[in-house]
Amino acid sequence: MKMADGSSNSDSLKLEVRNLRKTFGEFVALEGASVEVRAGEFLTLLGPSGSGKTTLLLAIAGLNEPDSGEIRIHGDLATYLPPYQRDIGMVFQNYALFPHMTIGENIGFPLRMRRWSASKIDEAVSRILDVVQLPGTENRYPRQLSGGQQQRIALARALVYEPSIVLMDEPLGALDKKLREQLQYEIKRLHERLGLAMLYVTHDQEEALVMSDRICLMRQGRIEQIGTPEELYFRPKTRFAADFLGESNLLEGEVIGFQDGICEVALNDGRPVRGPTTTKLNVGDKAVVMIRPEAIRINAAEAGANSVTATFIEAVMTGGTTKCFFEGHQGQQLKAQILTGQPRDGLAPNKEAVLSWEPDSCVVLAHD
Amino acid sequence: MRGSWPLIPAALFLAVAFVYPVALLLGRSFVGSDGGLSAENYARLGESTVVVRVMLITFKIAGWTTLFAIIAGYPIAYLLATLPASRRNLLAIFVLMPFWTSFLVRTFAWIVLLGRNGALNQLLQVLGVSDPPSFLYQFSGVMIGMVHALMPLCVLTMLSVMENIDKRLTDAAGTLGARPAAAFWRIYFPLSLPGAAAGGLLVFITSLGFFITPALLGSERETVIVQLVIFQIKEMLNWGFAGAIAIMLLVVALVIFYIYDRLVGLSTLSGGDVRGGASSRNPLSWLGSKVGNLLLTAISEVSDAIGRALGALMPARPDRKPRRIGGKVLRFVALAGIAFLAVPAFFVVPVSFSESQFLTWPPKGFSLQWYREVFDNPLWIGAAWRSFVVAFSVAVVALMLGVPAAFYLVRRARRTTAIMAFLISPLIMPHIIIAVALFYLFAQIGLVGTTIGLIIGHTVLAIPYVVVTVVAVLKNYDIRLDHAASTLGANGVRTFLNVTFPLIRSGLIAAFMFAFIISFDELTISLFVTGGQVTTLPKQMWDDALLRVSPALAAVATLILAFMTAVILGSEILRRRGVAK
Ligand SMILES: Nc1ncnc2c1ncn2[C@@H]1O[C@H](COP(=O)(O)OP(=O)(O)OP(=O)(O)O)[C@@H](O)[C@H]1O
Ligand SMILES: [Mg+2]
Repeated sequence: MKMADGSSNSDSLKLEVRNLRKTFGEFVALEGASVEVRAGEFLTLLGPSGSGKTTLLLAIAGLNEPDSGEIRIHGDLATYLPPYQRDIGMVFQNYALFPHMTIGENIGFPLRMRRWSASKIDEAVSRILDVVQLPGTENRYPRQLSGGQQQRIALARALVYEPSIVLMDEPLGALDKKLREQLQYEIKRLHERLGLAMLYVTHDQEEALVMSDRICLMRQGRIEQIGTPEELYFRPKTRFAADFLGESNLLEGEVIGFQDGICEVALNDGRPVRGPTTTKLNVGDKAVVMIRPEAIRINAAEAGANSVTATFIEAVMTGGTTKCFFEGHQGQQLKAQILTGQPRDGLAPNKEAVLSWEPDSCVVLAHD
Repeated sequence: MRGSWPLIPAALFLAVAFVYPVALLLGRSFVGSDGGLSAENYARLGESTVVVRVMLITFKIAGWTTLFAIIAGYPIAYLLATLPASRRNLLAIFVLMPFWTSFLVRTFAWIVLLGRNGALNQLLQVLGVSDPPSFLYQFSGVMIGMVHALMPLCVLTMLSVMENIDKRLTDAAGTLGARPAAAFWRIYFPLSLPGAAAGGLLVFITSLGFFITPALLGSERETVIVQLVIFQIKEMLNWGFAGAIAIMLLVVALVIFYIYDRLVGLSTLSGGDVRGGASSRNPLSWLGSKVGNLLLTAISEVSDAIGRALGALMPARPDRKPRRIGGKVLRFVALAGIAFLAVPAFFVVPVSFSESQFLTWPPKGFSLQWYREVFDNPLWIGAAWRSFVVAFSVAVVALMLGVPAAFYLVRRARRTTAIMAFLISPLIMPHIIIAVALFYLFAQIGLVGTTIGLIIGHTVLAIPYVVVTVVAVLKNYDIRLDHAASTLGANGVRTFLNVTFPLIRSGLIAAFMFAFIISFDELTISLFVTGGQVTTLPKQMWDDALLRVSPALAAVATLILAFMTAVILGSEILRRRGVAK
């Protein structure tokens, strides 16, 4: 459902947030936050605890007032509109189902608020219950359903009136791993089937990678980077982004030159390595080279363009893959990930090994 | 029931000093004038027009008190429930103010405030109301005094339910398109109703047993059932008839509790869950919920229409922060309610320094004559001393009985609800019944007019408070700490002294305070059990007030106010120090 690059005319923009700032007393919870969600797009807010994800989401929902900045929903200014005048749906972490109402009344609630007729409400409720695969539960009470089922009802309630955008704050946070994965899949399926614009909050990076069209990485109230999962994973712009998403090896060094847009870095042990960069760097700048563990080859027959030597420490089998740990220059920790069962030529504890990788599987980042 | 020894002292005490006398009184009410078994006392109940009239007045007063306490208390509880914890605790102290200030002190304060030339009327005159009505010795005066006395109970009960309502639910309703009014009436209000029902129930039952306020602030037309019981015993010596009236009151209370349990479930009284959904099978509650739903929908529609009309007049601006008028109005109303609870007691202070012979407002001049008069009167000094000794003993005894029982309830008991219900039953019994029953028993064994008798009577009332307080503390106490201590080699006694006790210390201090204040302020039981031979402070004030309300009483009230404040501050400091450690 992704839009072709660059074709984001304002008509297909379901949500625009510009330069939002929010403080609690002295504390700045949001600063210069700008995000857009296009029609049919699944955008995830990802970030460590306290980075301002919920604050941003609540501001969009109209549940807290930003100090400055602008929010547009489906093109209309909504910065300080009350929640009930915004065309949004929201799913809360603890579901927030009304305990004194049946499932049918819960899902029918937004329709009653919109003054639909009783027969139309019944029809819409049973249709959406089919969609979330809980048909016939109209007359039950929320507490008679399991956590996963309650979450689906909460989803149905936020979808039934077809809002411009659906906001979800860690909707799966309270569920166990297995159920979480199942519901991730179902939310994704619903999103594709209904062509919804979604803004999703999680601090689970795997969840973000699996579900999103784009990820918005947040850090201390600011937006660190927005991009597709691939961009964030393979082309992080900052050390924080590289570190937060997935596992990474970070080798420190100094920029010594550029060639065809490829940056050349002298590592601390003096070895030169090459790689593309996502930030502005100048010769002489301190830099870090980020390599994903799965991009590293151990003692390969034809060593890649970049390589370092390191002492093998141990290997840990984690299922389908095995992690190998090394100690490099000045005690630097390095890890490589290989398929379990793949031959490990000449790898023995406390023996040197050559770790190599291709230039375009690493990124050069500012040291900061 | 192996290992139930911690429960036995409290259970035994209540059986002997509470259940047995009440049963005795019940039996006595079936004894006719000829000494044989007869229902004649009950037949007289129906025939006596006085009883019927007084009963109706009692219900009228209790009903209106309940209604006003809920309506005025609701915004306060709502405000407290939605405030951050730090500010909530501060306001809660003011809400509890009437509870800490002695009952009679408060009533005198209202006499000062409400009289024909009282502070309120003078304020009204300044505001331009010519010849304002007197509120004192009227139904309105009784109402003001009763609501003032019972509203804190109502607020706290509603608060315990509201605290458990997820704030996110109203937010969710907003995002789903509900205006604040609709969100309130359709979501928050129905969820808070069990709290209002529980608060209303407690207020109603307590009102039925009230007589001080109607007696001092009302006229003959506001004579209540308890006064009738007192009259029957003190003047007519008609035990059987008095017993029958008391029993009728008890039956009424039980019936109300039964209906309440069917409709809402008794567990809400202690902040428990509402029994929803499943109870809709019971026809009474089904009908209630149907009617209630219709009513709520109507209210919600009307307020929604008003909201929409206002919204059309002053549309919300997307580019400017909204002015939250509704929130300001709520805050104002709630704070006004809190002021109504907290301020009046202090009006006794200036009056006590008056030079005038009467309770006039504003007080004239400055003199200490009334204090001198009080201190020179051995009756007051004796009463104060006895009240103190009794209250202190009651607190000690109630703690010794109640704390082990509370431990047993939390740590070992199986049928907790039944045991709890038994231990707190004196709380829901109109005090007059306990008073009459104890008087009847004590008269036979020579305990009337003794300090021991007073201590026993007050302890019956204090035990429920001790149990409830200590249970609440223990529930939050992690028993694994004890287990950890014992695995570290501490024996039972040392575990209790070194681990358990320091942790629950503040709860025990609070329980002690409760017991002390309840006894110190108790009048109903004292009125009977003292038998006119000895006196306590509240009884002395009561006797004096019936004769003449003079500034001397204001002086006593001021002294009690100062004493109570000192006791509460002292215990708070003790408690804080315990927590800080
Ligand atoms: N009402 C409030 N008053 C004061 N500070 C607040 C308030 N709400 C949030 N904060 C602060 O703002 C910061 C951001 O909070 P927020 O809830 O947005 O984080 P989050 O990214 O959602 O974290 P989590 O992953 O833990 O949910 C936190 O440091 C928090 O303490
Ligand atoms: Mg959050």
